[in-house]
Amino acid sequence: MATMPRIQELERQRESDIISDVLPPMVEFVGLVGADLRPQSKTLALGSLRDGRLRVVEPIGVVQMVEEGKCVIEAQELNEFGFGDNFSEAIQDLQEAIAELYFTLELEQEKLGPDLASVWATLSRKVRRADAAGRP
Amino acid sequence: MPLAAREFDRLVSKFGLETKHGRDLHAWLTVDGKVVVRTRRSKKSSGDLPMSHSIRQQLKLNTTQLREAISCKLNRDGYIEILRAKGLLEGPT
Repeated sequence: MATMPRIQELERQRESDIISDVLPPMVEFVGLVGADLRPQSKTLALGSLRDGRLRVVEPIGVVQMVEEGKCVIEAQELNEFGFGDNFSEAIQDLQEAIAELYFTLELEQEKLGPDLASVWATLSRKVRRADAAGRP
Repeated sequence: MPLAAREFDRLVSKFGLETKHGRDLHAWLTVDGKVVVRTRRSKKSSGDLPMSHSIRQQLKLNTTQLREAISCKLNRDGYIEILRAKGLLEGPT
């Protein structure tokens, strides 16, 4: 039980870092691939994982950028990223990575170290199983 | 600093990370029954991996430590000590 404050502290720190360093006051909401995706650093909010098993109930903050010729989308709050030859590919890569992350952490949630427990706390707050009861 | 796919695979082996092959190569470190860190690399990349700094952050290493790991100066025990010093081995109860 003594580690719960540690997890909360890590979660607060992560959110604080994102708020202060990444997220501008207003974010755009991208529900599906194909939105205004220009090759420059830009902050967006991901609203779908395009996986029928999962629903995003709270947008996931992401940053798009170009790095060494690759289009990259990074979800810093989840410490996850996707990349591709264009931003559509990068978003799809990230969506698949987040879905994979969800199922992995869900399966292992009883034996996560504090950092991954913090990631799971964030992820499970923002993403739910589509068949879960009690839709928000 | 760049991280090549073969260097990633060498780190995975040296640190004793468990792996799962899917669309990507997923790797994670379990210490005392707790999953402490996780990372992945694309199987499409054979040279330098994109977002190597994110992989480094997923592994919870700074640039110097990653360089030492690649150059074989950092082994699994040393890596675990780094994670312990960062408070990452205190699992939830």
